[in-house]
Amino acid sequence: MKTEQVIEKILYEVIEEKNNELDISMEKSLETCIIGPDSQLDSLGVLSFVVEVERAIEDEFQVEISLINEEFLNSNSNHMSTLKNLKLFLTKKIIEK
Amino acid sequence: MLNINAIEYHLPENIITNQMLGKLNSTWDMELLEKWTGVSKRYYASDNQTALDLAFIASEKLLKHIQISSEKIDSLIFCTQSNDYIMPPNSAVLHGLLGLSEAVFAFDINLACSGFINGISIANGLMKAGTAKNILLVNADTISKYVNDKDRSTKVLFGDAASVTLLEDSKNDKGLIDILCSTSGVNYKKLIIPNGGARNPKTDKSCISIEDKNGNFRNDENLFMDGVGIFSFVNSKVTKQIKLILSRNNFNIEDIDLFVFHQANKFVLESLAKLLKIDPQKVFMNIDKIGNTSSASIPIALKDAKSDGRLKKGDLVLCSGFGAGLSWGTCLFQY
Repeated sequence: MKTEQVIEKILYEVIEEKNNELDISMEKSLETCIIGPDSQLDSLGVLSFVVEVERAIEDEFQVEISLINEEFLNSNSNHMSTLKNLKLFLTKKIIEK
Repeated sequence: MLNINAIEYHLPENIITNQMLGKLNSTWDMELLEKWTGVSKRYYASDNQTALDLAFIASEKLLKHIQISSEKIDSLIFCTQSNDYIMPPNSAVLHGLLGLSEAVFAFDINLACSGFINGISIANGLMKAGTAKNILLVNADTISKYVNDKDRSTKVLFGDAASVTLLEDSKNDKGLIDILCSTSGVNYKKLIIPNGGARNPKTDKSCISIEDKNGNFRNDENLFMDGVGIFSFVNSKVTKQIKLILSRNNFNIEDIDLFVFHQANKFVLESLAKLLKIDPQKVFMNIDKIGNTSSASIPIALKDAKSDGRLKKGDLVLCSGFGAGLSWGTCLFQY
């Protein structure tokens, strides 16, 4: 399986976990919003999503990634807006490392 | 050299457990919220009890057991965002209640979770200038009064408390080694109570709570916290500051015996440990028992760490506080 496909699988697994935990129905789609007015997650939900994704990526690729980083603080990156952008960001970071 | 001589704290009597919050908000999964935030209970001041009241009790406790006479206290710094009055400052009222000498230089600082470190930095300056030798640093807040009962992103986290720390200008070779304080004012809206001050006074509308898309309620007199924004700030700015203070004093992470961070929430504490590659055993946590108590959280944690045997004489300790402003500070000291 290609890196991108593994990442997508991980993201969908975390989405499923959040749906079960929070009794919400986030779509397993790359268009799904993580942060912003169209997201179904509140701030605690986003942080739990981030922690789960970082842990799963580390387990799978042995790569430590901080998703909520300085780029995010300075609004220089929209990698947390949708699953598609997050997938692209993770793929790039994993290939770089 | 600035040295921490003694710490006391006081928690209000009302214990609020997760079960109690769950009963008030039937849609909240308290087991899950406890797993995420690390908080199992917190303490709330009663309706007519203020941060100053809590600080007075903590100060009386401290003054009873310290080895110096209260006449030798020459400065009182009161850090709070829960003042009794717009004026005078809490420090003046507390000064009167404690019957301190007129020679005491008393003033307030208006900071939240970074307030203990900023207070130490100010105290250090006063000592170096020869203005004061024995300083009471009070950190007290009743943040519970600012959070909406139906906003799970803040209600679960915060508790009320007061701590009092006696800082002394000591001649021994232990104490404060270095301290750094920083501010990012462009991010001030990430942690804010919008109405109630001079800019946006309270109005008939500002107290009307509105439900957001996630089912949380909040009005403009409540604390708003951009939790994800704060998390990114801690992950980036705070970790950088910690690395800087260590490197400029030729220490490594492994050299530190105990890390005492502001007890924001479990996400933040675990993220700091992970990003800085700190042995989790060296990161002190007491958030489960009292929640996030704003600027009092670090001194309370230091006192608890000492009581638990986790903080010993001679230990190299790193404390870091971060919050509203945004502001953050880190200090390194030998206990």
